[in-house]
Amino acid sequence: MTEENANGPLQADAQSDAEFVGRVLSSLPSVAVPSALEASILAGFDRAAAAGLYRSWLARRSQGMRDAVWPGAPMWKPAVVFALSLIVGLVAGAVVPSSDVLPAAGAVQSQSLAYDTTPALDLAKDL
Amino acid sequence: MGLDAGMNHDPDAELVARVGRGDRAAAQALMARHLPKMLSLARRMLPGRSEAEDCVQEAFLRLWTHAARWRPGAAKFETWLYRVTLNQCYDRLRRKPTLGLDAAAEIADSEPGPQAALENAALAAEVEAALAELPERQRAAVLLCHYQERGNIEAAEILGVSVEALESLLARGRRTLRTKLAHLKER
Repeated sequence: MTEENANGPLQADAQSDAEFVGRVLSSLPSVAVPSALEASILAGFDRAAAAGLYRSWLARRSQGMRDAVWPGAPMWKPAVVFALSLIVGLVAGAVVPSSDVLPAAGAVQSQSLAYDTTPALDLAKDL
Repeated sequence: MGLDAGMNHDPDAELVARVGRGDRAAAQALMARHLPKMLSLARRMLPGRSEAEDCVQEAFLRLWTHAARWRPGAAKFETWLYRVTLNQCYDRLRRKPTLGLDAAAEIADSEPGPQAALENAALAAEVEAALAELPERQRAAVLLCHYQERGNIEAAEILGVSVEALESLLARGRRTLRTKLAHLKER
């Protein structure tokens, strides 16, 4: 009684509300955990663990390859070099095969090679 | 016990580290420790049983994928896990409208004795319906403090609000529940 007077009627109401809600919520039945749910959660763990192992294996492999190509470099450096090489290669492939390098359409290309004669090779001129 | 002391001694830290290394037994132990309370929280937050189970399953999936990156000290693991669970509940509540009484009635499925079971089921359905009508943050605050018996500091951390804000949520939630369930007083 004296405590209620000291705290005021609002606090007494709040205390009473809290007790009521506590009592009412304690009447709720407990929730049983279905074994299928446990199994499903553990199956999720197995999948995540397998994916984690695969990721760590992949990370180790890429680390090994990176160190072989460019020891100590961050991953983006060899990746950029590889990408640039690929672009240069693709551009060269698209530009270089021009009409003067390729044989004319309809032309028959032939080459004879005699194995019983010495090749006419002038070292001073051909090298 | 102060907040810092609680953070320094995280009872789950060792288990989480082992889960991060792919230890299935640790995963089982962590699940046994937290699943019942997480499920009952989700079950009271969400209208349907399957929704609650999906929500908890999703929270555990987050745990499995984040365990390797978990660093003890920033926050208590349990706080993080319950926050993830509540966020999953909020996401589901925003996606679907609440079902109210119909779904609430499905909960009482394991009570002994036909008469007692009926009475308890009716009471539980009324309480569930009143809870379902609370705004989601008030509901979470009431459930954490009264149903899961967590302290105000811990509940505030889980909800990501200050203790004062939690107390305000609690006061409004309790008052609304009491108004809605006033007729249960005499039972």
